[in-house]
Amino acid sequence: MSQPVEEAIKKIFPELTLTSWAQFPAIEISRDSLLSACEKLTTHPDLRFDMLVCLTAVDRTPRLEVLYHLRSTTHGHELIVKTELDESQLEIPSVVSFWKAAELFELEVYDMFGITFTGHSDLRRLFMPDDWDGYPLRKSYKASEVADNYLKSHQLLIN
Amino acid sequence: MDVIQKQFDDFPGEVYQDKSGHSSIIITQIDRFANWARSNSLWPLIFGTSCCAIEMMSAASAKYDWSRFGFEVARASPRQADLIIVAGTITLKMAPVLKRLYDQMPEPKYVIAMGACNITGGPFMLHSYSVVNGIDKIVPVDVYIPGCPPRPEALLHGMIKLQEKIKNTKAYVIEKPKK
Repeated sequence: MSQPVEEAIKKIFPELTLTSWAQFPAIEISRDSLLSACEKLTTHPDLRFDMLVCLTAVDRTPRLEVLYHLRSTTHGHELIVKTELDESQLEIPSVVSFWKAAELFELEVYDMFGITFTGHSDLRRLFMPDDWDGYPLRKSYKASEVADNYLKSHQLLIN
Repeated sequence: MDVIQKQFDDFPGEVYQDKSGHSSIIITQIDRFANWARSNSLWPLIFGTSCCAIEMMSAASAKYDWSRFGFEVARASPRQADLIIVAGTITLKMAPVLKRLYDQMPEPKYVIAMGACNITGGPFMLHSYSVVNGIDKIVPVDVYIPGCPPRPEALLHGMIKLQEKIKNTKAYVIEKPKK
């Protein structure tokens, strides 16, 4: 029986404060130390977070949060990693090299929030049309009449 | 020649048969005859984008069986179809596709807007960045079927209404959509 994930996190990341969100333990990591922390999270024998369950973002204007929901299939424990970004500098290193699943998640977050993942091999629009302007899930996005303007600019309206 | 006049409920005209039973003379109007033929064999295009498509498939299945009304030849190509049942939300990314499919269909062609999303945008009417608020903005619609999604009975009712509409229009004047 391995030790609870909270104790392992406290031991391996003594500088971070461990909080909890819903039933999951959560840690906040700065952008600059994200990659080194991911290295520890995936390879340390007490952690072994080998599965990225979900990668998403939350707009808490003026900052944006990127959330990584991790799970270990060997230990069965889970963890949330939070990274805060300032609205003026929406760049974060890609974690595709640690979890292959991040490839599509990062595309979606880029499409909806406009966060650039440096190191992602093919960053492009996923759900929205290629010529789309703006990032729809941002709080500052004004959605009214966007649809009609799109139809008008593509000559799809009939009258 | 001795002929007997025969009446058929579903045929729009008079049929005269000789004693051997062969139909020799048919008296009808071109419009009524063409509309009768068209309305009883509408070939729908297989086109479903979300949950309304499930109800459309159900209407095609054995339980509701739209073959009874002449819709059984569902086509996978717009070149061979003359009815498009728009079953499901049309997003902005799908709008050019729907428009192209409609343009590829040969005349005469008919459109059924099935479900709330296609009539007004439905649950996505307000503050949506991705949904066409009513497909009548991009293609002309003949019959609207409300519901979210409509039951197969409602779809059949709408399709029978379309047949009635076809029977009451001029057969060889085709109103093209305004550019």
